[in-house]
Amino acid sequence: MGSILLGEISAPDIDRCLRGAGLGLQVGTFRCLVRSDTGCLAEPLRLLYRDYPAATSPEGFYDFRILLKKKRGNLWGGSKVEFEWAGHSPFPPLPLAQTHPLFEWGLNWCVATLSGCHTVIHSAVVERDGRALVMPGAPGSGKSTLCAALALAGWRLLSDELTIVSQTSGAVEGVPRPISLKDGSIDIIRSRFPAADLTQPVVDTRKGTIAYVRPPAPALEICTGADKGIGHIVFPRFRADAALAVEPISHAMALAELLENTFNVGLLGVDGFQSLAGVVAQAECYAVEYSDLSDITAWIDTTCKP
Amino acid sequence: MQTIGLTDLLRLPECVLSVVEADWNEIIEHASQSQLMGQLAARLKQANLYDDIPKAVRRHLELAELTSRQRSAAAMWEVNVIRRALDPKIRIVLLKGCAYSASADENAVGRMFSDVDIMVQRDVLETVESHLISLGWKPPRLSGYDSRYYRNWMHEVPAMEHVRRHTVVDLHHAINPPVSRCYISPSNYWEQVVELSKGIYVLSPVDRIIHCALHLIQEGESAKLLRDLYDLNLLIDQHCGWTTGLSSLLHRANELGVQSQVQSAVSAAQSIYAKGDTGHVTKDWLGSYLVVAAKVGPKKGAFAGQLAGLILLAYSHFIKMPLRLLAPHLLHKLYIKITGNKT
Repeated sequence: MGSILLGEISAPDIDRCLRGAGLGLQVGTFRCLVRSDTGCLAEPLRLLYRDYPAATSPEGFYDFRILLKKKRGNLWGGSKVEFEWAGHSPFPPLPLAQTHPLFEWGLNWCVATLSGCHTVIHSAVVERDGRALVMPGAPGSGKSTLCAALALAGWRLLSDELTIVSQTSGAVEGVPRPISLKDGSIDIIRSRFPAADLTQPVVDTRKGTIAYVRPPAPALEICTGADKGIGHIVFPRFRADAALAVEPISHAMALAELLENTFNVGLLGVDGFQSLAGVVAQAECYAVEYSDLSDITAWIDTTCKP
Repeated sequence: MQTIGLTDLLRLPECVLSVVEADWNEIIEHASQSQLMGQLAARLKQANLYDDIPKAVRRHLELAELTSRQRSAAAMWEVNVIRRALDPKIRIVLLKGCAYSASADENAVGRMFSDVDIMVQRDVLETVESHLISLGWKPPRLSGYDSRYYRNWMHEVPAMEHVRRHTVVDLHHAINPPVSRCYISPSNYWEQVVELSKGIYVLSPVDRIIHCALHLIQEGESAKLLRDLYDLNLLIDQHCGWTTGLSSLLHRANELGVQSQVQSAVSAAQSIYAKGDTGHVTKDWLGSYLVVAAKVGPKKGAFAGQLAGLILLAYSHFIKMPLRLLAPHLLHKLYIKITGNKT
């Protein structure tokens, strides 16, 4: 895509593209063309995707031509916004104020779907020295908060949502995207990293109040991901007032947990299982309970070295 | 020069050489909507033109191929589970996707399907149904009316979903409803079924073609028309040929009393996909609407396509059951819709 970055385009110009033929955006190895008549997307996109290659007029093939369309509501309902890709609308329409979160969720869905030939795990992942640190976890486990804290302190962000492991090489593909923070973790990250760029929180979404953190520029510099595969797998578990407790876990247990969090187990079948088992066998695996972010990041910085 | 679209590539894959990168946007989205992505990949591979496709486009095609392979393997696995559970004397006929896949028809390569369609004889239907339930396929919760509608008038029992694997089985006892205007007595095609492996059968090639043609008209679903017509095209190409073989196909259709429907479907497939000299089946009004509805497909806001879709939907109901049953049925559905009363 063109050599300009999104941050070099003014917000009104971005809005004009979104309302017109579309705004081109390169995200990892995916090319997106975004259109929207809601007027709510230009500001957050410009903030979060500042360092992403962009184009002001469509050119060539796009993996996803995404449309976020305003739907007039009824008299008492107010307008809503709908996400659409190639005629698919995988989400119900949402209030207009949630246009940007809907874009992020929609793009996650697109990336997860199209990456189906590789193992796609619902997990945060960061990288250092070519090795990936994978952090799967249920909502509320604190994986996104932890991911943000690491990404803002020197680890390279690969993704806060989707870990894409190559079926053939075991390398982890990076699709760096804004990190989503929920409720209390918004203030935690704000006070810990006053210089980080966060969007205005959006309240009352299906995941509570959310704000997004701009991925630090190093995430976008090299797009090769973690080519040496997965070094460590850490299952974080946040529990208020808990002291840091680290428990090494077996490869078998880690594999079983990862399979639970893998979107396309059925699609990849036996090959997928074998490939993932091979990748997990190379990694050190831990379950870590924590309440203080500093404790767990300090532990990760000393333990998860190549 | 006109831009090259999905149907052009399926008909003449050589066209790919003049596709410019931006054209792929429409082609890939159209293929995704009409569930033809995997078959498009197969077509281009078969013509040795796969390397001429941009790498980014291939990512979409490869995913569709993998999905198709995996679903097809999963469906055949389910078929074997069912086969093992039933009395060996009960013959199972595979229909549609499963049949194409099991008999290695050319249209099976890259084809996307999810349901397992099987047919057994009417007198063992209840036995097989209760076996399926004991294997974990759950009958849907239906209102008393809907349940009676299926039992009394339809050629299949309501689709059953497996409680753990979520695969769906469509259990048939005929290929069209007994109350249909063009009902074919099952003995006609049971006589000619082909055994593929112990106890697993498919319809004869010609009957598979006729079922494909009849099914696409009977369903009245314009979203899948383009794909169904492509199946029909490839099946004709492989099993009887577009020139001399057509007359024997139409002869068999006549024997079964469905010549006019089959002819309309064949004419539509011919006008969209056949190349070079064909046996020239004349296109009637139904064939023309099929072409319009298939080409416009699920696109929103295209009036001609939506109208054609509606006409096909109406016609599909018209042939499915006589008016004395259809009129009360539609009135009942309307009543449910207005009152929201589901009993």
